[in-house]
Amino acid sequence: MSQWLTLVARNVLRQRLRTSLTLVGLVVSILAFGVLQTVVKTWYAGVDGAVPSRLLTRNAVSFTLPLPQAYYKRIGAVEGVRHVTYMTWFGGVYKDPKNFFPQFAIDAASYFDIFPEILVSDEVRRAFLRDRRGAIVGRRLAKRFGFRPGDVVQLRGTLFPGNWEFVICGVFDGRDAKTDTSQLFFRWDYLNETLRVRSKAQADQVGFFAVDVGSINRVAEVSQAIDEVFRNSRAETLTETERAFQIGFVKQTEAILISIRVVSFVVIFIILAVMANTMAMTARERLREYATLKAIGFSPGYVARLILGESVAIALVGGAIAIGLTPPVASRLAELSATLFPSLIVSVNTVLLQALSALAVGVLAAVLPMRQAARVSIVNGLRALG
Amino acid sequence: MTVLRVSDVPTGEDVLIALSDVSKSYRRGAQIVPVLSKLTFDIRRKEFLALMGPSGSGKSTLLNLIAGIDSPDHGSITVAGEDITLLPEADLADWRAANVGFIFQFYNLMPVLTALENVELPLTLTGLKRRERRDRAQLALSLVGLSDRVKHLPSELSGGQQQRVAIARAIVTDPTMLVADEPTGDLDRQSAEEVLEIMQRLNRDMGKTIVMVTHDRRAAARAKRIMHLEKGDLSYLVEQRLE
Ligand SMILES: Nc1ncnc2c1ncn2[C@@H]1O[C@H](COP(=O)(O)OP(=O)(O)O)[C@@H](O)[C@H]1O
Ligand SMILES: [Mg+2]
Repeated sequence: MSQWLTLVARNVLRQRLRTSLTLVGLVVSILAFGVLQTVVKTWYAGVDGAVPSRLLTRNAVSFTLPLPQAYYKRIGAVEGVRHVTYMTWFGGVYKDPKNFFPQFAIDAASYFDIFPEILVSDEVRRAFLRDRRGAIVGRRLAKRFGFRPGDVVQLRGTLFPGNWEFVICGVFDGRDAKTDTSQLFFRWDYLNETLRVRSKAQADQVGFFAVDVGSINRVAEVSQAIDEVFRNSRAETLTETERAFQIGFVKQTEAILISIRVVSFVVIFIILAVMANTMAMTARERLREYATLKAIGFSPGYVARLILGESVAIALVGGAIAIGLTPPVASRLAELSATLFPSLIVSVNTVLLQALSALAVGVLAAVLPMRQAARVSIVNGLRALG
Repeated sequence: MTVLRVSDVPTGEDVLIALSDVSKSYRRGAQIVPVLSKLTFDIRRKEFLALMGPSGSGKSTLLNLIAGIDSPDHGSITVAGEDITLLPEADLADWRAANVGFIFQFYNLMPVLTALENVELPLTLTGLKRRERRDRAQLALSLVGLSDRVKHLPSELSGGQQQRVAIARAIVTDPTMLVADEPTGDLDRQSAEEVLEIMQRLNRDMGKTIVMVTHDRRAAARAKRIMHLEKGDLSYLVEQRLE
């Protein structure tokens, strides 16, 4: 056993250049695999992060169409509704379209009851309630543009005409890594007053309502009840769970996600081919040594295990380095991606998948060389050069 | 020196290796190349036999059959009463581990192992404790005069020294016989003499049976008996006694 380990360990270190190059390939592939898997998972994470008892009520025709703000009271009156709030997607441009980040006009009084994952100090909340032009920004967004309380931020409207100015009254944090802190919230009443002046047709309307029903057991019943209230009205509603809403959104990007997934596995397959070739080359060069071992009395299985050990050792070292590098690389990517990913957290599952693929590469790459080395006759092996 | 026909070789009780009607051919593409045909002869215990013959005459093939790393097409090879051609592959490997010490032309040491570790290698197949293995390997290395080179890698040793390590590896398990295929073929005269000296001593003082393939007359002269192989036929046998 220890003899086997000695031989494996020294064989690994034997062709340093070849082993190093193989290692680099392994690290890059398994790292890429881990990062791509993390990207895909994060894309779906909104779905996982959705609170199951939270409902979104939107225009039944399309979520791009608004609903009357007057529905607020009527939804609040529906049996089973604990809290309700409303918001409007603003879609403004900060200096340049490439600076994109989400902006919502929200009802400052009710919003935080329904979205407890948005953490704001009482002080900031009071300031926000005081200042009609006030806005609060997420930690990540504040960091990205250096926003500080008191700063005036100007957004150019795209859905709503004109330039809009907001005064930052504070920064909010996310309760956990899944919470998107790259958003900006400002007051819906400020939006509405301005629209009454600038664009009357857009006034008194909201993008959608968010409803908290307290328990997932009531989700189906309450969402039906809400939609029943507005049946046959001018703007019928569609109420679904936040989760269902987000799945609908993710579905639109599914083709991209599937491509990324496929690429991540292709990368592993390529390194498998490279590694198998390296191991075959190595084993071929050592046929005479293997034949000598067999002549002395070692079994073909022992010889095969030497190759297996070497291959798996290299693959696992590469895998370990890659796993170590994945979190820092992922978080750097999240930073570079600006607001696309609030954060890229490598899941335990991804780490396990990385370890498993490293192991699989090590084992599979060794299969053919093992068979060759085990099968070659002693006499032919001894005649081999090397 | 007396020259005898093969058939004249006396068979005694102290026969160690007995070949009977052994034939071997190789397949090269569609062609079948006969190498050895119907060989019958004995090798006695404590013999030092040199196998000579022109290149391609089948010396290595014959040696491989005797050592149990190749099998004949026909005939039997009996070593100490056991027909090794009947042994299944795994048993044959165990048999080699217990009975055969190999000395190759190109030494065939493990390049990643030190001299001591190389010599110790065959002992890992035995039940010996690590400590005991070390001691035996040390002893074997001292027998070939390399006690001061235990920590060296093969690449740090001369050809002659490497071959001496290989001899230590071959004798460390105390095998019944040593087989050597051109053991001096890759060595300068001086190193070759040292290696042959050691082999001769192993035969004379420790009673090791040695079968050595060589095309070098001076090497063959160290043996007690010389056989000439001509195109698969043991045509002549030269019996030679040491003084
Ligand atoms: N594994 C093999 N496959 C095919 N032909 C072989 C093989 N081994 C030996 N031969 C052939 O058998 C003949 C005898 O070879 P060998 O025993 O190595 O001769 P020697 O050792 O006397 O030079 C040669 O013609 C050689 O080419
Ligand atoms: Mg030969």
